[in-house]
Amino acid sequence: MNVKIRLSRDLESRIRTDLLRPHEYAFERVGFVSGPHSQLSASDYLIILNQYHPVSDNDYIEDHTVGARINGSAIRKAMQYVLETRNGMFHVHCHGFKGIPELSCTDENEIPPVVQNFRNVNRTSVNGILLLSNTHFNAYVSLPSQTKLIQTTNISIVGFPLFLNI
Amino acid sequence: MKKKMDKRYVRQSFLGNKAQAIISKTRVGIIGLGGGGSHIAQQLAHVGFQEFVILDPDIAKDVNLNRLVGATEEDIENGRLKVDIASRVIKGISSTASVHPFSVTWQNRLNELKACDIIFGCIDGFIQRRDIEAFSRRFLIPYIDIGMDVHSVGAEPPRIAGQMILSMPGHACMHCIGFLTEDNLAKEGTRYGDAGENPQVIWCNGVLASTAVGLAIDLITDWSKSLRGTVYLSYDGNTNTLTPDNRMKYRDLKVCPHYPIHEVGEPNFQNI
Repeated sequence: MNVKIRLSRDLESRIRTDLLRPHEYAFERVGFVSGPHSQLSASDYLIILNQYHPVSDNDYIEDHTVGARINGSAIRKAMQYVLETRNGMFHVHCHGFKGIPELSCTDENEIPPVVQNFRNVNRTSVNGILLLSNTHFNAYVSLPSQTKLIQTTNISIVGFPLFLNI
Repeated sequence: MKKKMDKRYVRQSFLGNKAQAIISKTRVGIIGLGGGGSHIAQQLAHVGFQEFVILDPDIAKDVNLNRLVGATEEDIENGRLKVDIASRVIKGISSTASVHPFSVTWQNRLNELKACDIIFGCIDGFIQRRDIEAFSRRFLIPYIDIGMDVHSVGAEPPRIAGQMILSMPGHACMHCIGFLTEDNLAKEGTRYGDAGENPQVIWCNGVLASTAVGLAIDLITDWSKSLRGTVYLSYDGNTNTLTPDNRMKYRDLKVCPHYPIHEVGEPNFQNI
């Protein structure tokens, strides 16, 4: 399976700006980013992310064992959007260093069930996890035909300059 | 082999440490493999691009030999497809290149084009350009357009004019910069099917194609650190000059109202 993800520089900038805002008690912020997909062939998918959904300040739970924990309301809002638009939804957060970011143990345990919630709402959409570092991107994608998350670093940021995550 | 490949690009190492890796992984689409597209295909292969989607429904004819890079008399005699000639040129320069040739109009291979990182348009007509730009914007693909024409103005010598445009999603489009207007689209609509044989010459195609390739390299490597907005260059073939189009000075180019940046991706039906 080959999965390619595109988003505009404008959207990337909005995501980073929001994720970098300090929160009253959470150590970091998370958000959701959505968009439709095109199935280019039996094994090729193109996902174009086009909208950012920040998590409201009051949807964070105070928990000092993790960087950020959000409540069911934040997840339900994202699920509702998937239900209404049939677009895919990606959980997004940033690891503040250079290079291709990887999921932490907490991420691996806690984010895939959130992605499964989106899949439960609409099995035809492509959902997943988008990870940012200060310089690069990584994504884990749930395709309609598979329950397992597929990793892709084939992510491009369209704008000046064109960024191809290499 | 790898050492040989590394040596091949040593003269363009000023583009940056990662430049060759980026170039080799960038998938390019070329629509139209005539005078402009054949130049672009050849140059992209020389620079080190490895992923090509090339589309043109035509076969090479005698009338193309004045400008079709790579074409031979034998190709004309055998009625060879333009995409096969371009494919042979690319593979001759870089045997490792992956070339996907399609001898159909671009509208018949949309999925292959959606996967491209940059699309070059080397076609005739305003309506086609409008449609390719709309498609590129929808799927967040930078579109680089080149074209030229020769005009007769009374008793004056013929005027050779052309353009090279970079249309970047989210930035000014070809409507914003005044290249596409209701007037020129309507005029062309009334002449549908009567385009005739436009005058074309290799040296003008070469100037525009080389500029387009240079722009694409800058776009993906950012080597010049100066490419930060829509580019509209006008070519004057009588004075051999290529300059920023005057209309760029007088237009508000900050936000494109024709293709909102959030209205991108495959359209789908929403529940109501």
